[in-house]
Amino acid sequence: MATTNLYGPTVQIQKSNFKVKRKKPNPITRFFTDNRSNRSVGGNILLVIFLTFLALLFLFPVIFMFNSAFKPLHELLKIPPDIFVRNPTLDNFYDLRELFSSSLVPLSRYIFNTFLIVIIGTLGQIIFASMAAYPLAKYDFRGNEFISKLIVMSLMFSTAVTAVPNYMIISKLGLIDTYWAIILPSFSSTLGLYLMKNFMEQIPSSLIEAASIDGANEFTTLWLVVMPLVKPAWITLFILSFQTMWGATGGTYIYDEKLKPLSYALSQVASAGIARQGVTAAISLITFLIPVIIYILMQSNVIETMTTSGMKE
Amino acid sequence: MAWLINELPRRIRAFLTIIFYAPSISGNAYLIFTLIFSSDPYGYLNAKLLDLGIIDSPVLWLQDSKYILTIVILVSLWMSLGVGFLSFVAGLQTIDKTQYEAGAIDGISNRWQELWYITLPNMKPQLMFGAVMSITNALGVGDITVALAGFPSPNYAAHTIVNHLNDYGFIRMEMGYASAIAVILFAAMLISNRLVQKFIKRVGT
Repeated sequence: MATTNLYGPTVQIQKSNFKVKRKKPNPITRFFTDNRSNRSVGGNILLVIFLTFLALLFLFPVIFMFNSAFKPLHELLKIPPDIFVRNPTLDNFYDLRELFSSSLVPLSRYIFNTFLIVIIGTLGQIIFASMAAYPLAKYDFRGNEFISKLIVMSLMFSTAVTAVPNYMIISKLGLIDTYWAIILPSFSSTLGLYLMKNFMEQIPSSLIEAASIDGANEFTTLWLVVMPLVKPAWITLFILSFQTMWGATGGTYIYDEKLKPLSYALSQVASAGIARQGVTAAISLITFLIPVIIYILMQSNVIETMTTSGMKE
Repeated sequence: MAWLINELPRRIRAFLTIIFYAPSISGNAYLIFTLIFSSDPYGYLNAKLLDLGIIDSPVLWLQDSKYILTIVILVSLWMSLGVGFLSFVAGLQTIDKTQYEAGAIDGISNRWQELWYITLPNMKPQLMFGAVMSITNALGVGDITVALAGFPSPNYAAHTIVNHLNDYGFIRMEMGYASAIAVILFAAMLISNRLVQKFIKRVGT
């Protein structure tokens, strides 16, 4: 130690003398002029044009929605129509409030319903999925393989297939016209379970053994050791379930007007057609923006989870 | 799609991923399409086409059975890049870059060979997952038609199997018949998934 300390300062002085500034090449120019790889420059240009076109196609409805939401009435009904708004106003949002203040159920009730369903459903889904995924990923027991195969199978058909039995079970349980009709089925999301299980398989088993040696029981191991490690997985699960719950209209389960979610209100407004297009755009914008913003904030976690999402035969 | 995006620099890649993924997480914001394709002369597409002189009377986009199915397909395509797409994007990022260099030395001369012999075999598991998710979603399309074209859609032009199921199950309350439809749908989903998996297994050979 002593000898290295002696030489330490001199080395540092030398280092600071020779500070070289390295210029990073601009990624865009590098992209077009990169001739190390076997990608032709012409192909690159074609690719950029193609992707720009596609992106515009995908963005168009969003841009349209965004602008319509802020257009005053005379611009909405202008012929020929403009895509971009000239004099943005918030009139449409006021109209939206006005429209619902005269209706049977206020808008805030719809929003409250949606948030209640989303929050309880999402939390439940995360808790159940992680508790189910943990033994499947980390323990060897009889039937483990069979259950895992069953989960993969269940990914292969959509909820429409089970609509009839689902409805019957819920009506027998007496849950029609309650929030639980939407919340309860969402607890058992196999997609979430599958993603969670794949992600948990990466955790080294020695860590869990260490926890049990230190005297943790299974539950504390799961919540204090495993869950912090699989943070990207449950964030992804949060986004996915948020998205499905957010879009749920409760069609066949909920008939009481007071219990219907926001997306149902949206479809009601939209059915009025062109006369209320500003209001439709405004409420669409609200339903569109919230999940997208949440996704943007948590993007990197999602991608990390998805790398483990692969399916082995 | 995901492969094309992966060819781009990192920042732009993240941005494009958001653009393409956003529609599928946005709940039922797709109702905005009822405004674009509105049959009214004030509807966006009609007004634009009238102005350009391509048509001389408004087209009943969502009432004419000629157009409905096309529009429904268009909208479901707009929303189709969901979980599977994210899985592809993520899978592509894990591929070892040195493999491409090795491939170049071993005589791969263009992008397509690179895709077929290196990229796709490397992301087979993700391909499998993505294929399963998108097939499942595609066969489950039903809400979109109801929202856009009404229920039942004019002349049953956009009547999907899911609509048929809901019609019998929850309107006519013939649960038995509806269950039979569900079983067929289930079989169709499983079979198409198996076929796609077989195909994916042969990729890169």
